[in-house]
Amino acid sequence: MRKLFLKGFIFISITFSAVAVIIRLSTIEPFRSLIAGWTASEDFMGGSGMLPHFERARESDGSTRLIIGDSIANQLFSALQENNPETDILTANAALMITGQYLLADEYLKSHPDATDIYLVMHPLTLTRTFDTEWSYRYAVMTYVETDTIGSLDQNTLETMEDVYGAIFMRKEIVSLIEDSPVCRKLCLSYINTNKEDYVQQSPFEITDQYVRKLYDLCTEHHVTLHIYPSPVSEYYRDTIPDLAEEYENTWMSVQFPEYFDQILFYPEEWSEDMSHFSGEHMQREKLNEIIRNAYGQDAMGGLRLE
Amino acid sequence: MCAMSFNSILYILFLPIVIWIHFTLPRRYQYIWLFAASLLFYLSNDIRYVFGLSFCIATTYFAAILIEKTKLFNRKIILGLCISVNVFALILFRLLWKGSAFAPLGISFYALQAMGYVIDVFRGKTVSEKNVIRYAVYVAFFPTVISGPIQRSTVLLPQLRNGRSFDYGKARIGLYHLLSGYLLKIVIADQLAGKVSFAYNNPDTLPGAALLWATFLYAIQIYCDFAGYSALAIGSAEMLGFDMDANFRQPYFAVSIKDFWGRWHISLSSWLRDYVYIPLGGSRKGKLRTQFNLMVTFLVSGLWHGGGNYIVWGILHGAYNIAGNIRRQLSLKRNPPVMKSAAGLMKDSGDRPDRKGRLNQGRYYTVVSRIFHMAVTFVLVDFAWLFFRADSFEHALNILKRILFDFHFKEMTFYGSYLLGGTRAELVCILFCVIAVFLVDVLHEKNKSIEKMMKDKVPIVIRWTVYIILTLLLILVMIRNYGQAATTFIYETF
Repeated sequence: MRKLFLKGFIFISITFSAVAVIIRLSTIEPFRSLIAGWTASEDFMGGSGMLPHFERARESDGSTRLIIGDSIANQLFSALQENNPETDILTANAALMITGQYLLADEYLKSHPDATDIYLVMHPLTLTRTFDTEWSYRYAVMTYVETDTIGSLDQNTLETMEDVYGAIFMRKEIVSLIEDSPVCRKLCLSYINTNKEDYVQQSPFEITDQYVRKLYDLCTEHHVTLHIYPSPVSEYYRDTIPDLAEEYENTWMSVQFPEYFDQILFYPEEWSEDMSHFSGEHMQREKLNEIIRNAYGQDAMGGLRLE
Repeated sequence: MCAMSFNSILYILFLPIVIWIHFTLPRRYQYIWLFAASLLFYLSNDIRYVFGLSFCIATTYFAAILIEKTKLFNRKIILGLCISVNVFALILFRLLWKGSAFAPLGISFYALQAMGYVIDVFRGKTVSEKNVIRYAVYVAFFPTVISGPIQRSTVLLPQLRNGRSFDYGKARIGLYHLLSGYLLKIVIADQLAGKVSFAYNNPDTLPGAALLWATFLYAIQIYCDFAGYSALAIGSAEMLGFDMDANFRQPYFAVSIKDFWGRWHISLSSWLRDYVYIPLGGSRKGKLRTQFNLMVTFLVSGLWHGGGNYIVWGILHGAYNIAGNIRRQLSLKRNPPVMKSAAGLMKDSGDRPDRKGRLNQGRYYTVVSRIFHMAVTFVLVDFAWLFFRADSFEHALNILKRILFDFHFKEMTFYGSYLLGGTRAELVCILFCVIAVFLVDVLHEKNKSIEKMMKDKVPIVIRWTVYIILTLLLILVMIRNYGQAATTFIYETF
């Protein structure tokens, strides 16, 4: 029997060595594409696209204003960057989470000592996001680890992330492997999606409240003014908003930013196919500018040039 | 607790540990360890299953002991009571409470195994097992408890009583069976399952030709799925030193429906033959009664599978067998049997000569004739599989209607619906694997063992290279499927 187990051990060792070689090859072209095809991981070849935001935030470009926020904010503002060199527009998406917005602002302030204003533009539902098993790992956690910013988060947040995703998936070498190898990304994300559970917040704004407060304190420390605005909201959510507004009253944010829910601009359902992002003719620049003026006034975001 | 089945990662860790401890223990205590391992394996699926299993073990254990101790008339009453309560339990869980959380996994298999044991004791073929733990292992033996093969008491109980010594050759064969089982299930059956489901879930959107293609693929799927499961069960048992009979013998090489049932799910068909067909009278009570007994046996088979559409499937096979019998009798009248030289002619495989030395009542097949009979048999079997796979009788009729009246072969190829929701590359890979399985079956049909050929004729380096490549292929396919809902073994649902 020892002979069988010894042979079995050798067999398994050889096989796993072969697997390790294949995984290593899956991080370098041309094997990356080939192995992705064999393992049906083509959909996992792209990254989250968040790293460039942090790279830009770290560039000392002399800008004095920062706009951050979710994908609706991105749709509204990102194309205006060229006309507004004094403002860094680093809008991302909701999956980066408020924790990611905080880290982005933190990096910006480190390399922009003359900054005066930070504008955070988020949809009310984005403020209720939690660490989920579908999006947050790839957009938020992986980004924080790869940009070496994760250490700036609170200990309780780190512990929450470890509970949800597993401590091993927050190690830099593992995250790098997942980033570079589509097959590892597929296995990891599928594992998390199948075997883990979302973090259940104690209140709808638990995580957001904590990190908006941190962001406010950070801005205060750097003599920067923090502004929080809602993204425009589809009429589809008209009935949901009052309940959220009521919950909002129990947060720290409501003291510092009491007018958040009052500033919401509601738009007709037909303007959006997914009830979040603008579609059809309302994706045109002119329409978006009109929406910005209606939502945030003529001097939106400290006088952003819209043309 | 994490549910364990043959295709779970947990099982790959569980089995070596069980084997190691099994052979470390003295032979007289091995059954105790197997009892614990079998309970852990079975109850990891749902602890409530313990009720159904305990009921079956308790009733058949005591019934067998009482049967040995009492007089003839009372023995029949005890046997009748025991069979009745267990059949009632089967009907309750499999038909009336189908799909409920209380329906114990594998009851269709272990209940037959236990009832077979009691009948064997009644018939004097075996002595009753006094050790309740050992008997419990017989019923709940983890390689076979969920989906068979159904073990005869005369085969498994003596091995449990004697204990097993480690046999390196047997363990190697067991490993080969395990690898084969996983390849059949994961590389072929699971890939085909998606395509067949695509067709059967959307019959109105596909031409009849595509549905016919899907039905053909289902025949391959169910064979690879079930033969794969059996290979895993047999391989696991062999690793523990147990001998098990084969459950499949190249079924699609059958030249008749009768031949098919000597090759497909052999443990169930032989159980039905010995415990249903023969007690009904078999072929001893005249031609009309023989056909009646056949039909009843196949009806029971349909009910055992779960009633509904399975009854239609059973009736079809009953009708096939009856028609086959009638055809054979007419053929015998026309061509009385003679003994011929086998030069240049192929025998009907699996036949044993009768007392006068005739094979299959003198039937020999040329290669062309054999292929023709295999094709006809396959078509008949696959027609019945249509009903087996469909969700309902109406669903089956709808698919059949589209195959017959909405064929559109050119449309299928032009629009690519033959891909059944997948890519051409995937289909080519699967078909390549299916051809490989076919070639292996050809060798098995010629009584050549692949494992023995590999061991005797292939250098160890090449042999290991082949095994490692096959294992990597398995891992590759598992990665491809990871993240999708896992497919259970088809016969786990029975």
